[in-house]
Amino acid sequence: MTPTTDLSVSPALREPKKQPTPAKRRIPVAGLLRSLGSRLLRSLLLFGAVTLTVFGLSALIPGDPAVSLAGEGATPESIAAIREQLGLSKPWFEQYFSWMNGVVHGDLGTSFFYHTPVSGLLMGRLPVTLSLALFAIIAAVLFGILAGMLAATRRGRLADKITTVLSTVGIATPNFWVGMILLILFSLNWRVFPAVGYTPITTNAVAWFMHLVLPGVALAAAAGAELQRQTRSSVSEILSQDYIRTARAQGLTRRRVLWQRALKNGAPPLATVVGLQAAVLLGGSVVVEKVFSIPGLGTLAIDSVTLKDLPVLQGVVLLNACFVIIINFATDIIYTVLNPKVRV
Amino acid sequence: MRARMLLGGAAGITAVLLAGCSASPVDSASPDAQVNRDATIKVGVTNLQSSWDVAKTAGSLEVPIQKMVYDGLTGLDEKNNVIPSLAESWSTPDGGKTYDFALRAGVTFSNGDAFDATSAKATIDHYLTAPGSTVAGQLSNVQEVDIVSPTQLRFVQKQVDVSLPAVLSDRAGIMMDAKVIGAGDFTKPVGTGPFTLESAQPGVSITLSAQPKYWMPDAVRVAGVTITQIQDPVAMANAIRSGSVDMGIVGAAQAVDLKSAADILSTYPIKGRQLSGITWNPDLYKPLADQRVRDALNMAIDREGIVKGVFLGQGEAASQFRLDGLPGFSSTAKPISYDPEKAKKLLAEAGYADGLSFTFVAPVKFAKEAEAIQANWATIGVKIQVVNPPGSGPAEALWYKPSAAAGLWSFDGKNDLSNAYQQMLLPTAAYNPGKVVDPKVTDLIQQSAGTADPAARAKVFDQLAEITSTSTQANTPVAWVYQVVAYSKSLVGVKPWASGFPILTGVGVAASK
Repeated sequence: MTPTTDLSVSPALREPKKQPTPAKRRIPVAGLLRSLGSRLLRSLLLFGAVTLTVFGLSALIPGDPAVSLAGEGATPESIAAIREQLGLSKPWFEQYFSWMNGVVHGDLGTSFFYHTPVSGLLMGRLPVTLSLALFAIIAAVLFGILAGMLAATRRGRLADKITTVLSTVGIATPNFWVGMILLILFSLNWRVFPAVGYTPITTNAVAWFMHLVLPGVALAAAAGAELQRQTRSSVSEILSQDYIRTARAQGLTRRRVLWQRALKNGAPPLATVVGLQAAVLLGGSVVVEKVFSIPGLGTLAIDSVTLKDLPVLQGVVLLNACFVIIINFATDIIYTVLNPKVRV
Repeated sequence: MRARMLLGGAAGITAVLLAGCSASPVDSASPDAQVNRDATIKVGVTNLQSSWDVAKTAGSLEVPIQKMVYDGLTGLDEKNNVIPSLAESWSTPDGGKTYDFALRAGVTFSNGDAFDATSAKATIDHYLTAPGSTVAGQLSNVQEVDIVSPTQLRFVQKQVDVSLPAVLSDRAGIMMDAKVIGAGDFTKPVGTGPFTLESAQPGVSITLSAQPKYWMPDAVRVAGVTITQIQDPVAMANAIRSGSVDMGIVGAAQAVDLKSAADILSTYPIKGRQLSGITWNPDLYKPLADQRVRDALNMAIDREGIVKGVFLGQGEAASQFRLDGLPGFSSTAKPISYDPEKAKKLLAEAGYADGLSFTFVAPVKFAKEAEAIQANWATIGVKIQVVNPPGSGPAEALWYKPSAAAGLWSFDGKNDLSNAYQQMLLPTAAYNPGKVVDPKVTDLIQQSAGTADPAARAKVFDQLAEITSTSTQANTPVAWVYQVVAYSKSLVGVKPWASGFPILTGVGVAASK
């Protein structure tokens, strides 16, 4: 038996070695689903808690809706009749379960004041607030990331100082004040943009955009500033890491290092900030809507408080709560995908 | 005058809409003005109407918008006089208990149905019987409505009250189509008014188009009207100034601001529409049952100072429930004088030399006025805790679920003065929670309700004004608060209306616009 050279070589050496799949490409699906399932369950529990809180807080609003609705010259009898008609004389838990039953079946009730279904009112206002929030989020992300990258790559230089001052001003200035200044300059003085109101995109896309610019920028100011700071801080830290120096030493272009390595690795915290800011922008447009007289959900919420239109108020808060829960859930998913550590 | 607490009080300034008071004559100031009949007028208002079912509306604030689509049986002219509208004339065969209204013939609703006594009766019955009707209170004295003929409608009242034609110039007289009432669907209103509804988004805007077959065709000089809700007073001023709306109503501070845009805007004050005053409730605070205490508090209010300091001169001191120049105002009645020293003496006389302390409620829009009164009363040793609940909170605290000893209210200065006195000063009045009684005042009010003769009524009103302006009753006027109508100079035919509602009847857009 003649030994062959083949036998002296281990099979592992004789066959071409398979490259192992990089760890970052492996997503443990079971773990991810478990994590998401747990978060979904928590979101549902949170939703239940929110409905109870919304209902309870609405009941705490001082005043009797029936008195508001009865109007001038109301008699105690007419007020009592309206209260009975609206079901306000029932015990609170009965009212709550009746309302929840409606919510579960997609019926948010009927507006005390407008005498129309709450869901219809919300659907009429939702596109307005979504348009405004979306515009603001896009504006904030564009400004925040670009200005943050600029500041991070030019630390201590003029660009860094200017963007940092801008972000400080953006964070420190109330959005209604920014809105007022923009309105005075661009609407009342120069008449570039409309001062008040909203045009649906289906009616006139250009007018829709023009109506969104001033309130959108006002709303985006703080969020953009926050994002700029976060981007600057995050990217600056990554740019000082060894692997970035290594990448540069390997000949990668500055642009590739910046956008493919630094920004990509700095993305998880930025995603969290964007998620938080999106929730704030959706629910926080109330004052800006008021300044620009935009008929969105915020305006509807204020009106419903003033008019003691409880079904509408409950509907608006519930919708906003749903948005926040959904955004948080989506942020969790994105963060999980972007950051392998949290999947372990 | 119809008493009301403003409901949508977030911004403080009353919502005012612009509407056609149906029987008003077409503007004569610029009859030959070249107007663009294809134009649309854009109007800004602080509150849109809550429902096209008038029985579910929240108050008289909604009348102007309702009257763009509907007409009333009666209307008001520029000087607050009751004038014919869908009712061409009326008479009372028994001195004010029964009223016969002759209805205008040949008028049709926007759906083609004829307007007649059947429609009118169906509407009034709807107001009286609809569950939770907010108009039933205005018609509480109506016993029954009978059809005499297709053009004759008879109102039988429970007791004599000559204010019925004035009452019918408000919500209670707005006429709707019997078919719509029967179907119960008010999303597509059908009226005999100058416009028809094209589209509406509750709380946002409504779009109206001119009714081509309107029974008073010369009254409509535009193709349509867009009414947008703008609640914030600053936003309203900005909308007017930037041209986003052609017309709107602003408060004192914004009116001063808009003076700088005088090249493009015209303005005029609405004087007699908003009266602020005080309700006293001795049931909740016994010292207020003493006439001397109420008089002392009344004469310690520096009304002129409030008008100047709080309302920036956009108002005038009030001692009567009627503005100077309007029917019912007494030129002989002397107002109570501002005299803190005398007030102190009166308090001491009443046994309250050490002062008083009570809760005082005020609408948010009158928060500064309440603070001024608080400062005034502090000088005579009276301490008040001012509370400013939102919305209808003040109305509840004062009248419906009384919890405040006194407080400020806001009244609408239109309609019948006798009706106002009845609601404010009679011992059984809804706005007299403490049942403050002055037999002489009660007697005079009853006389005014039963007297149709204008001269005799004027005499009774004189006597009432003389008593109530110096002797503090259940309710005390403090100040007339002006609002200002601001409108683009491209509009023609706009004219001031004493009752406050700017009227779009006869208003057009200059052809050159």
